[in-house]
Amino acid sequence: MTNLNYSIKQSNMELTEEQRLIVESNENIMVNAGAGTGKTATILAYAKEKLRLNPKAKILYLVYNKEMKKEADLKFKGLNVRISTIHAFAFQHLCIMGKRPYLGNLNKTEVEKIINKTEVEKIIGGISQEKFKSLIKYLEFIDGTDKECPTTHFAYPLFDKFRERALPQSHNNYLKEFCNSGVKLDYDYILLDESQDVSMNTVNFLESQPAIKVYVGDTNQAIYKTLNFTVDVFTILSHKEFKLTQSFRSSTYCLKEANKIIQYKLDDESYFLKGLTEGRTTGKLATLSFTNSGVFHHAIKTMGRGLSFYINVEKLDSITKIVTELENTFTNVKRHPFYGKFASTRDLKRYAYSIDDFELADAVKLYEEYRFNTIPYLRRLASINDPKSSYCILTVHGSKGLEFDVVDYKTLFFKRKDVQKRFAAREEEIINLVYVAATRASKINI
Amino acid sequence: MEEIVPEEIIKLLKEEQSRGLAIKLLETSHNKTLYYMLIDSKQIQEDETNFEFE
Repeated sequence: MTNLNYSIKQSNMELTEEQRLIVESNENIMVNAGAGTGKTATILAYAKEKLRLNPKAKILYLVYNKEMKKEADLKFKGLNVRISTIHAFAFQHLCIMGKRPYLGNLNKTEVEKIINKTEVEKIIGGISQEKFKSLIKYLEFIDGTDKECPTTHFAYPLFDKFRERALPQSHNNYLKEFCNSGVKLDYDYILLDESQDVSMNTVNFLESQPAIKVYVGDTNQAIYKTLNFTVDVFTILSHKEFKLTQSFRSSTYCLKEANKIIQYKLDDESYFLKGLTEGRTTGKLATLSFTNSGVFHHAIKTMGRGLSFYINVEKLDSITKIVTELENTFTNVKRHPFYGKFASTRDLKRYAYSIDDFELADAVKLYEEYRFNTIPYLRRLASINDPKSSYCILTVHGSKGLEFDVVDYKTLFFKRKDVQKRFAAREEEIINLVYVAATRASKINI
Repeated sequence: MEEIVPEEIIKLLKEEQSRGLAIKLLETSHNKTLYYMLIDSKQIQEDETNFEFE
């Protein structure tokens, strides 16, 4: 205890009792950390403590994406901890093993030539570009944890092409190859972040490793089960579970909504997040939307008001492409093979809603409002987008891990009829998404 | 760029009855982002949601 206190003082960190129990543990554990409860600070303290006890300890910290790696690199600077995303780690190992993955974008037409189109329609309904992405995710899923895809499965020829490196592999495809390679890693501790949204392959791989595993995440923020077919470690493993419930971000007032959502989901009043008297100041405001089209729609409105804003422009090209196809179709310039099946934008929108393609539905809505001006407006967004702006317009998915003083997540997300319907039906993933949105504010949700 | 929302405004926003006053004060402020956020949120009818946070 004395030594532990000493090391904590050295690093200028005051640990809460919840954090201290985690740092002192020395077995496989799961840390269920509420939003803003100092998850990374706890992992950092854990790693420091293990290195203090054994300076030669080998620690691997697997993070969710490149942004998180950058952040972790700064926070763990000077510590002998290997930090990587699971995909980068797998990629490097496959290269060392002489099995360099073949990366690139899968072409829809090429895929349709190889696999049975009727089977595809049965599984994902329509064949819009957005739904094609769902198909790829589905294929990664059915390829899942089995070492081989059954030869009788309609997707088998596709997997054959992946193995031969005749078609570009997706990131999850080569991750599976690595996870099934049987490699044993020379680490004493493996720390996995965002454990509520991981592939089953990753879980099986880590569980087969001799190292002590620390799974960190927030079971209430599992939001990729449907999109990416991930699993929530907290519901499938039985390691000792610790909870982090003291928020270092939000005020008690601000957390009222998040706690209400947790109670609605769990029906358990004993679990709730504890807040600060006053929330942390970030100097940032945000409006959160369900879809990317919703983000751009709102950004056009904001541009008209002469306000500065920040949006993630990564998806701008794909939405502009959809709008261009809509415009060409409904002005009879060049009818799109799929959109052209509909007599009006209204019919297409109705269909998009019926197959839960909310992105397409919102893109149609955007086009319906601005018509010929939509594409010029979308182009203008990219040029006036200001990454330093205090006002962020983001999707709820894109807001994960971020914080703002004031957030409006209701206007473009929570109060949508489709979201309300799914929330009322207690769809777990939509409740989690609402929880993610409600925990972004440090001072107030409006 | 940072936009610090004064604590007085946060306090006004916490109560439904003083929200209107916050909007009025923000209408004449230099940075209108929060003003428009409140206007947008006001346009959505309360009866569109069945979930009561209070």
